[in-house]
Amino acid sequence: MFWNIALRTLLSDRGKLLAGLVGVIFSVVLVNIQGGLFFGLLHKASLLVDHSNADIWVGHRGMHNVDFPHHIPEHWIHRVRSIPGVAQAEPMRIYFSEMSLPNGDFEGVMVVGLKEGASLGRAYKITEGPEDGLSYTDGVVVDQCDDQKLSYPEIGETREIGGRRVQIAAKCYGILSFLVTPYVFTTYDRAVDIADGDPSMASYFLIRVAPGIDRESVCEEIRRRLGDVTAMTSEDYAATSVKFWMTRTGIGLSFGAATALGLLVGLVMVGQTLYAMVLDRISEFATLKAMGSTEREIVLLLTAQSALVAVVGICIGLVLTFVIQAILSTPRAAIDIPVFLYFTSAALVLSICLFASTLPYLRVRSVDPHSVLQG
Amino acid sequence: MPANQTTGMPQAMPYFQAVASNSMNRKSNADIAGEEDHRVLLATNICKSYSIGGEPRRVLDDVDFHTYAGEMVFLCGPSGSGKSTLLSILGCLLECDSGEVWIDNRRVDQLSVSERTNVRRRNIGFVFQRFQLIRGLNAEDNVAVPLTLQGVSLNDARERSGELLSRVGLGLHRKQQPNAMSPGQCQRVALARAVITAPRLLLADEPTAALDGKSGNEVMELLAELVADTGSATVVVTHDPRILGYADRVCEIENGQFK
Ligand SMILES: Nc1ncnc2c1ncn2[C@@H]1O[C@H](COP(=O)(O)OP(=O)(O)O)[C@@H](O)[C@H]1O
Ligand SMILES: [Mg+2]
Repeated sequence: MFWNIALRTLLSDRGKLLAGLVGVIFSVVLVNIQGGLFFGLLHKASLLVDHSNADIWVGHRGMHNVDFPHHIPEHWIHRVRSIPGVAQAEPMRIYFSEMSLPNGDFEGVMVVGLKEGASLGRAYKITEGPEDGLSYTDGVVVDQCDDQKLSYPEIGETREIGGRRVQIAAKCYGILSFLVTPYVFTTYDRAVDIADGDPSMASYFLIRVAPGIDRESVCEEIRRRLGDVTAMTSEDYAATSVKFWMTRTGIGLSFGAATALGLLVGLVMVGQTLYAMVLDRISEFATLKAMGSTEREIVLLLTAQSALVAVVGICIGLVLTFVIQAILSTPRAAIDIPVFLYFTSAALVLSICLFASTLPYLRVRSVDPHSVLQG
Repeated sequence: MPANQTTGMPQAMPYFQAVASNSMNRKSNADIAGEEDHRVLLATNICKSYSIGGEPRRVLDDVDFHTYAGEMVFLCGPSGSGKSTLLSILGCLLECDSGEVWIDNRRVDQLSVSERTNVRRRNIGFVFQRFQLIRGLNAEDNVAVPLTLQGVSLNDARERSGELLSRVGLGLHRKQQPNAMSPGQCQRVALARAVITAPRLLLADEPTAALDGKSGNEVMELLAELVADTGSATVVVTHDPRILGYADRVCEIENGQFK
């Protein structure tokens, strides 16, 4: 009967029910989309590493962010290659530079230089133009998602980076940096040329280990033999790069604050709805009490009501989240919602709703049937 | 028609059969008059003060009261004379400052809150001036609530409530929402809800005050019939002189004391 009362009285207050549902849906969608944007953004901090196909990244001692390398002598790679368990090692270069735009403006870019034909570090997949674009004279690969920033470069178009001629040979899709700076992929040698760097230096060595070899012990050995380098597994370097932006920018705090604010609004809406419903029915609760409902049953009734509102709202909210994610998620503003976030947000909103029902409960608790039922 | 038709054992209606065993003493007033054992309700030396603006104001001053099973007693008196207060004390909704309240030979005024709740659930039916039906529940479910509070399953409760609604002339309105019914119909639903458990004690506070004369009379007529069926000791608070004819006994209260 209590479910019956809970459900039917809820349904008979359609307007308020709707307001409560909107509150819950709002909270769920907000938490998931905010969280998704947050994780999507963070993910960009490690895209190069995630898609590098390497087991181990070696860079200057203290390397902390894939986009900001400190260069190391390229010839050290021979010492790395001689370490047992290292199956393959390739150097990679990353430089900041500027691309000139047709209207005379400049756009900062991150030039990523890879050994031709190397399978390591090639984070991109060609989606437009020839597969072997980099073997073209002055060839570079840019990302379609950066089209707007780079003033819509055409395939075959000639541009200048760092004062050197380059040709847009091909385009990839979805490899973006955490910064606003677009990645421009080119060959290892051309990169140093374009950026006017030191040809004896490399930014990183990317390593694949032989099957069955423990990557940690290889890292250990590399550090031991080269001294002045840091060697990390790809997962560790991805996490380190993410952590760099997390701690240096405080985006965790700002996203978290926005999300908490959204939850708060949801909480207030749900609490206010339940409270308004109860206020409206205070004499009915008094009647139930007069007829011999126990405190426990009243608590159960209110809890059941907020749980109902919460569960229905959460379900609708999650569906809405899927829809919004499907429609709005792009590589530039990726909405990456980890599975745990769905569950966490649902649990969080449910507990908030249950918490919100204590307010109306306190009101009902203080009801004295004698005074309410008079006249 | 006054409710003095309780001659001999009333016919137990089917919806009361399940609870017939806990209301054995359904004798007529004539039979039980003078037999103290059959007083369902006994209140002695009841005093009650409210503090209004920090000053205590005595509302009930050493009141004695009792009712027998099947008896319908009216509490009359001017507004503010303490009728509702007395009714709430009798109905275990309010604690008195001093005095004793006994229901079915059990002292109830000193019980804990949860025990008093239990007494109300088991033994007392309430009728209110403003019906106090639960919006959103149809007539049948509203009437079924007290049964389910006693642990009857929802289906059984609905069945019995449906039968009782037919009995009070609302068989066709079972599935209707309270807000789709006239005040007279609502009060009949409320009456059905109050008696569905065949309570030992039935308390009604101004049950006709929100009704026009005609439906007021119908409601009182019905109340009298139902009380005859259930044998509940019944206390009706009213200041409506038109319905005094239904009383077995009228107690007049003024300034917190019986005249
Ligand atoms: N909860 C309360 N707090 C303070 N005063 C009250 C309360 N309930 C009733 N009273 C006062 O007690 C007096 C008797 O009230 P009541 O029992 O409702 O009388 P009646 O039902 O006969 O009109 C009134 O003066 C009323 O104002
Ligand atoms: Mg009154």
